[in-house]
Parts: sequence; C-alpha cells; structure tokens
Amino acid sequence: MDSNATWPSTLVERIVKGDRSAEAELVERYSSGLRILIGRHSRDESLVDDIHQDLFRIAIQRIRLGELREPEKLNGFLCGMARHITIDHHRRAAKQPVADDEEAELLISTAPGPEDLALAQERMRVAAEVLAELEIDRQREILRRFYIGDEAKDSICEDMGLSSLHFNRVLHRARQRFRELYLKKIEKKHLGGVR
Amino acid sequence: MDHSFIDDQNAAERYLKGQLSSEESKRFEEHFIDCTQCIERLETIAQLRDGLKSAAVALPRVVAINERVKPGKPRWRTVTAVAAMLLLAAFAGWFRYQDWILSSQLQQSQLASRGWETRVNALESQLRDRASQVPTPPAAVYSLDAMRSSGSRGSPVQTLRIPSSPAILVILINQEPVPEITSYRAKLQNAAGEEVARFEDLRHQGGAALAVTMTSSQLPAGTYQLALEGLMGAARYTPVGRFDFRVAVQ
Repeated sequence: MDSNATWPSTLVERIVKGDRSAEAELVERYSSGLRILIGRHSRDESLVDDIHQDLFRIAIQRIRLGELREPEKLNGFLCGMARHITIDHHRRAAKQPVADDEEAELLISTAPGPEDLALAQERMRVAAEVLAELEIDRQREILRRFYIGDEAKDSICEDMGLSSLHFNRVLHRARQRFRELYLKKIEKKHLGGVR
Repeated sequence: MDHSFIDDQNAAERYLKGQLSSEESKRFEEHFIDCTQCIERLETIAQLRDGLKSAAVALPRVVAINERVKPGKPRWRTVTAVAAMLLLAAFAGWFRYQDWILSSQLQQSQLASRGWETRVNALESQLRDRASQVPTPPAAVYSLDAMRSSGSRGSPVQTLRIPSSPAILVILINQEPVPEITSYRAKLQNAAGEEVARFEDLRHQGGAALAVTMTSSQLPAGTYQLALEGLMGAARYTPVGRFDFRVAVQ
C-alpha cells in the first residue's frame, strides 16, 4: 500500500474524529507552502498572517463538519480556499474607506522594520557575491535577463544560442550558491559573529 | 505535476513571475504546498530575485555586462590595457638586459686567466639572484571599478584572482580623467586597516584608467580597499574614489 496516497485521507479522518494533534499536523505540514501562495497576492506581512490564520481556522472547521468529501483532494481544497479567502480580504479592504490616522498607522505597520531592511541588505550583498563569482559574462547576462529583466527563458535561449539544459544549469548553480551563502550569513548574524 | 516537469519548465521561477497559465499555476500550487523541496526552491528564488534587483540599483557595475566594442573605435580600456602590456614588456626587457650584461661579463671572465676565478664566482651568484627575482610571465592585468556604496566599508564585490606563482600584477583603476586634477595618489589597505602599498604621482596615459603595478607576494588572499586622491592646484589632495576588492589566490 502506498502510504503517500492514503496519507491525506488518514489525516482528514483523524480531524473528523476530533483529533487535535491531527489539526496541528495539518497546520505544520501546509503552513509554509500556503504562506507562499497567499504571499504572491500580497506583500503586506500582517495581511498574509491574517489570511493564513483565517484559512486554517475555516479549513479545520469545514473538515470537522465533513465538508471535504474527497479527502485525497485535500491539497486542492486548501489551495482553493486560500485563493477565495485572499480575494475576499482584498475586496473588503478595497470597499472600506480608511480614516487619515488609520492610513498613517497602516503605512507605519506595513513599512519594513530594521530587521527586514537588514535582511534585504544581506540578500543584495549575497546576490552581488554570487554574480561576482561567475567567471563568464554570459552567465551573468542569463541571471540579469531572467531574474531582473523578467524575460522569458525561450527568448533568452534563442537570443544567446543556449540549450534549455545549459540555461537550467546556470540557474540551478546560482540558486544553490545563493542559498548556501545566504544561510551562512543569516546563521552568523544570529550567532552574533558578523565578519 | 512532477519534479521533472517543474525542473525542465522552470515552473517555480515562472510561477513567481506570474508566467504560468492559470491551469499550470493551479496544478503547481496543489503540488508545492506540501513539498519541502519546492518550498525551499521558491523561497530561494524569491530571495535571489530580490537581491539581484536591489544589486542592480545599488551596484550597477556589478550587474552590467560589458558593452560590445563598436567596430573601428578602440575602447579606452583596450588602449589602457595595451599601454599596461607595453609597460610590462618594458619591465621584462629591463630584467633581460640585466641578465644579458651579467651573462656577457661571465663569458669574458671565463676566457681570461685563473686570476678571474673569484670574479666569475661573484657574477654567477648575481645571475642566480637575478633569475629568482624575475617573475614568471605572463603577468596579470586587472580592472577595478569604484564602489558606489555610502558609509563604512561593506562586503567587497570585485574579486581579483591572482596566480599562486610569482607574477607582476598590473591593476587598472577605472577613473575618468578630471580636468582640474593633475595627478593622483593611492593608498592600499588590508582588512585590518594596515597600509600595504602607496602609489604617488599617478597619471592617465592616454586612457581613462590609472595603472599601478605590484607583485603577487604583496597581495595575499583577503579583502582590500584602495583609496584614490587627486591633486588639485599646488598641494591639495581631495578624495576621488574608493575601490573595495577581494583577492583570491588561484
């Protein structure tokens, strides 16, 4: 028996029976992924948090009530709910007029804090290091055009005479190297040892 | 949706850029929300994109690609690089001339009587010393751009990869000529703030770069800052640029 295929069904069954640990498991397993999905539609961290909370509250409620009739489609159920709740939040926010002092508070609360700015600086430095490590201009051009210029892969490959494999290899190495360096920097920061 | 499709189609990057169709987006979302590997990849791509976009604004020279040379119009960097190579050739020529002088003297001494034996030994010793000082060609030429960051020294982004064997290094400091400035001086410091080298009376030689020469032994691996000052008027030096770089020994 393939445990992966039965897994969502088993979890849903446990939630229906009132198993609180199953609910915690659901949140732990899907939290990061759903935050990315929600975050695609909003840069406001506090709004993402609100939607994230609402999503799990409503999802668990509905699962308990047996509304998820096809438990193996749990992923699709959660994604659909995430999209609806996000749209709903934005609609409500658009309809409500904001008073001047509320607007000021909103600006202050959504402005990046010192920790966010420090992380953004670190990302910039690490990205510049990754670029500087590249010995060939063509590799730098691929990253520039794809990530900064937002050009399509096909157009870059055709223009530069690259194969899809070569293109993917450059991206893969840049991503790996960035992650390696970025995690090292963040770790050093948290341990208090900045070079 | 499986990982071979995701890898081949760069689904993660295209998802974040909004370039997937709505059907593909839906399928990808249903996959990644509980896939650790894809979540990690999405986070990394978002951070890398963020970092690259910030770097493009703050450090354009790091991100820019060298422009193509227009046919028939020599780039100032090419002219300066040629000038640097000629300077290098002059150094090498000077060492070779010294060698030739000593070799000739040695030959003459050997043809003379036994009384010249002591002198022959001394000349042989000088030749050996000279041979060990001559750096192994080819010498390396590097180009430095000024940093645009404000405030105190941040992490350097230019890396000079120097050979592990002894070599002459020619460093071209990219600094456009300023009419009011007659000459420049530069001070090179290591990460500990210690002065490593000082260059006086630097002048543009027909290009837009100032050339300084060093030996590879003067630049062990590490981070450095070169502070450039221009001489305006009689004796007033004014800061012109700061060049942060890192040295990696190959």
